Amino acid sequence: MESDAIGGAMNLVMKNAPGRFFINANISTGYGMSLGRNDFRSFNTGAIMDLSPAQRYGADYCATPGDFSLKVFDYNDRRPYPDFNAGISIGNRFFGHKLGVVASVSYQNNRRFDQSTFFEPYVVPTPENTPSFANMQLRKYSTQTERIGVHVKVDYTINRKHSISLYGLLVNLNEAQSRSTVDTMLSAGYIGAGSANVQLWERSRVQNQYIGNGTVKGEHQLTAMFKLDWTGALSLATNNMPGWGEFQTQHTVRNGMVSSQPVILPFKYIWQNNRDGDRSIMLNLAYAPEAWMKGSELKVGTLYRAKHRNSYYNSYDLYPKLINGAPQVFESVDKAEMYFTPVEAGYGSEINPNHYISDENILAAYIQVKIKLWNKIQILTGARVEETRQQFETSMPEKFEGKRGKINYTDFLPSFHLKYEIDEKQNLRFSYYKAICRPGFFEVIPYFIIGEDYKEGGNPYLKHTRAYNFDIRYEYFPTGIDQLLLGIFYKDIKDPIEHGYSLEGSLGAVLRPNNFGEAYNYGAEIVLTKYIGNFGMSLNYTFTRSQITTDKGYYGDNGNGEILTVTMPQTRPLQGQSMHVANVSLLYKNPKLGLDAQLSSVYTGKRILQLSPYYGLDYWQQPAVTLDFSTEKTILKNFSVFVKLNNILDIPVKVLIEKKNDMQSRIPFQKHPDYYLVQNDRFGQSGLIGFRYKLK
Amino acid sequence: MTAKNFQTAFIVGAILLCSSCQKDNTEISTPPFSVGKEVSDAAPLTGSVKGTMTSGKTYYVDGEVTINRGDTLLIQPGVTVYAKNATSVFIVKGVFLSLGTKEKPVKLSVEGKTKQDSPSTLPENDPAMAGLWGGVVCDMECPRLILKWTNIEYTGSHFTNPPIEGLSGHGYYWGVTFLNPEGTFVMEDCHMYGANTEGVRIMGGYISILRNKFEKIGLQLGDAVTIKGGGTQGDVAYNVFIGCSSQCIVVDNFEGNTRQVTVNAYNNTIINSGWRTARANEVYGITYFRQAAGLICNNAIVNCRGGLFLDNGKPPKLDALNYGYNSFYADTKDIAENIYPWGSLTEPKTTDLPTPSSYLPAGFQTGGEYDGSAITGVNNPLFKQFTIPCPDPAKYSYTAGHDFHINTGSPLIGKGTGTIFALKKVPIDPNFGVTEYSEPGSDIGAYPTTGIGNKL
Repeated sequence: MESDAIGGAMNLVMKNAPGRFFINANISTGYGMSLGRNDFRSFNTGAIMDLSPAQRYGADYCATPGDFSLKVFDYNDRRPYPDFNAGISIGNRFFGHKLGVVASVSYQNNRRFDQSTFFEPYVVPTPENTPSFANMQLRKYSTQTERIGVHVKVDYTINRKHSISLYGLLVNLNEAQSRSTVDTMLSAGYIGAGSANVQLWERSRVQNQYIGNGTVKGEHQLTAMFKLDWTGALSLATNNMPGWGEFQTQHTVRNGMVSSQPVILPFKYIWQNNRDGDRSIMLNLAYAPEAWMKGSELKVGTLYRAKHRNSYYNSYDLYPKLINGAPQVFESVDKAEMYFTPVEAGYGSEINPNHYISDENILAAYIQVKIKLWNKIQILTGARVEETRQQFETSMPEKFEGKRGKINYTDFLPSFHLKYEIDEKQNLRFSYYKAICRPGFFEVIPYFIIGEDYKEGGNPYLKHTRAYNFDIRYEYFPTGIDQLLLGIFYKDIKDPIEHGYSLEGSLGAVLRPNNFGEAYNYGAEIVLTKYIGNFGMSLNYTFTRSQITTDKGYYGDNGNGEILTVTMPQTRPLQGQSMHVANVSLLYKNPKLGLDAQLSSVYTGKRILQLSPYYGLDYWQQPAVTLDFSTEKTILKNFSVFVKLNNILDIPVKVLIEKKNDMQSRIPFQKHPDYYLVQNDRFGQSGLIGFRYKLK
Repeated sequence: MTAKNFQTAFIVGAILLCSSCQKDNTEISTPPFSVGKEVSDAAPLTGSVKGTMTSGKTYYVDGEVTINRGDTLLIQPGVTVYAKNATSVFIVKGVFLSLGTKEKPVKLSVEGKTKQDSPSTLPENDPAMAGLWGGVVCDMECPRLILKWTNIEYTGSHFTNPPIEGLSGHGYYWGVTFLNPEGTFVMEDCHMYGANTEGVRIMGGYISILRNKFEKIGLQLGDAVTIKGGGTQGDVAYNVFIGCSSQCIVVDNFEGNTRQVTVNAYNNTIINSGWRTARANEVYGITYFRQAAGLICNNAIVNCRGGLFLDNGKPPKLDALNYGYNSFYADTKDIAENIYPWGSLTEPKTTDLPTPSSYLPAGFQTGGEYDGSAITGVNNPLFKQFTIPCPDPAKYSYTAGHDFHINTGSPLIGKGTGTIFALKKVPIDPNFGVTEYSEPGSDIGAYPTTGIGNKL
């Protein structure tokens, strides 16, 4: 197992083509219900500029306003077309079953509308860490998502002893999103609901992601005792968000009525993309001598993996021209006159910490022994040694410290897994393994920025995380499909990486990723699947407790009448971890009628959505429940029809700061004494109906 | 005695008499203050520089010119420094002393530009705010920046390469940047004419900003003097601000570093500012927010788009903030109604002019709405040479041809308070410190009738 596996590892094995020709195709259409009540705001994605002017014409090119398109802000509000999904899988074996080919293509195109109420707190709270809000925003998102997936697997059995296979994958996600925000400013000019300065923002964003992978694999039974397998893999992932822009205007409202002309505010166009390339080669040799018990073997292997990332970021600030010395009044986007001031701002800002290249090369070797004892106990134990060599180069000037860097480390990772077959229906498993988690590429880039609200920086001295993982699991399989799994787990995580404030002398408080001692994570899990006749139930519940102590900022009186930031440790669960996660599915399968139905619900307990640098001000997402339904019915020999309904309950998801709210708040929605509301999202229900064709 | 003998005796006697009239009177000139070696003006300066720029000479700066840690650059009176191009900038890691005099100021500017100061000049065409060079950037460990009688003009250019660590979040130069919480920054009797964005950005140190003129600061965004965190403490007094695009004095305790940010802002005259920015929350003459402390007294705010803003969203440290004795003048109802901005925490004080009780409604609560029509045109400061009433404050954004001394009969006379004091965080020293402190006076504004105050 690879080293980067604190949460476990998933082994995805693509099926080989079955013995006979098969074809499986489906086509469906659907609609997001919230679109029944709201218009979908679309824009011409062709107007998005793929490349920044600096990428297109070179870093020496000084862009002019004519190089930027305001047409991305031409919006069209209407009821959109329904969703469309289609997929087909076909496969067969040729040349006497020696050559198998499976190919699969799927396409999805859907549109969603979401609404969110968001209170933007000031990053620095008021003294004694009391939250205070800068804006109240009503956000409307119209998102169109197109997904394409292509899989191909070719496997060739050369003879009984040798086989090779080739797997290719290409997935593409193309998302276009418009976001319309009404932002009420809660400071200057805010007297109460209905009288405030208001900003209107329109954002157009396109995101294009590709993941491509080609894997070649061979298996060779060299002799009766030695088996060799090798894998060569090439992957490329790209994420491109070009021409992100947000048009902003501002006006004043008094007693519910607009009392000033809207003026145009300056805004940015941003280009960001990254390309991650990955090449790896793996070799495994297994030795199973006849002297050993059946099922035992000794295995050694090695892995070499080279990852390369190219990250790019650039932004341009566009200003509205002053008209006769005064701020420009907004009439329409087409009539807006924007420019660069000074003229050289047209060069953009390509030199910034998000523009870098990074390499991570891994060389690993392992030895593993599998022993079967008395036909009941299987022990899998071994050790892995992994060497990591990382280097980066940023776009920052040579005169800055840390333009380049190298980080190297070696890890020794033992593991032990025991499986005890109590009887043919019950198993008991125990495992221990050590795993690591490497810092993100960007976290180790040494940068330092003084922002408008806080100072932030990277940390090249970050240690990678090492975790010691223990699991015990009981498995019971009474019949073919029923199962009961009970497990408990414990993880001791050393040097977890989190973002926190550190006080750095005259620099003051700087937000950096840091290692925070030790974190603990333990819990229990139950999985239950039971069928009675045609009805079935599947239940999965996980209880998790984790704990980490990090330094947070505390902004308040230092005892001498001075308001300063000090740091204070805070213990909390790991970000994103819910104490309770459960999902329940009720199933109905009637092969005679050809009817399948499933009702499923997921409960996600409350968890930290976003960490605050300040003590006690983390954002907690409240418990959420979803309900989905799907059913499929055979109608003709190979055809079936299916219906899916998603998010039936449409319960809004709330995010809060759990702190006593004693302020006599004049802000709407903030009257609850026990918490501050940060965000309230509604995603809407959606439905799908389609046909499936299966030929086997 | 013969006549010849008498003549000789007379001559000898005269000589003897004269020799006893001899007096000791020697005057030897002292060399002007200088440091290290003379900086040569033979070629434009590049790379690093240290030493003394000699009186009367003209120097050119090409691209980034650095004063390294441990070095000192001294600019003597009467020196002119021209920036050759938009990337020209002083990056100061050591000590930077620009010591002009009233008769022979130092000039840091761009060659060949003519000032266009008239109401018909559109700001978008005005070279003052075009952002032609990078100004003076001091890094986080620069110990000392002293600017006296120095004219700094046309700053605010764009940079692609960040000049120092910490400033890579945006791409434009502020006029003067000072960041060291333990450093010293003095700006006395200087004239900052034109900047594309901010004029002076301070994020640390012990400061004195006294008796300067700031005009045409910020084309659209950009406050004139911004003090943000770093435990900055000091005085901003007797300055004249005119025609700045957004706020003129901004004080912010930021995230609270080292010491409480405390700034005494007194006896400033702030005119016709806040008109070019589009952001409605950045239009005020003076803004204190996010736990800033200090003193705000004796200021005259005339025809600015906003008056005194104590931010209700990020409040200043109200228990350590002393304010009052400020005078406001408004030619229109909109200006009058933004003197005590609606929704803000600014309390009208009985010592303010015009007297708040004369126009605020009975039962007025801090931050409430009020009708400003009663005070339009009232409380005219009676400047010696300036257009008041002003039909279009945005157009009168310059000092040329104007004189902000006050005539007899001005309501500003005798309405200030002299019972408060300057913080005086910088020691007095002609070369390395403050030349003279101007204490708060009994007249409001930068030109009290007592004669102390702004000398420009």
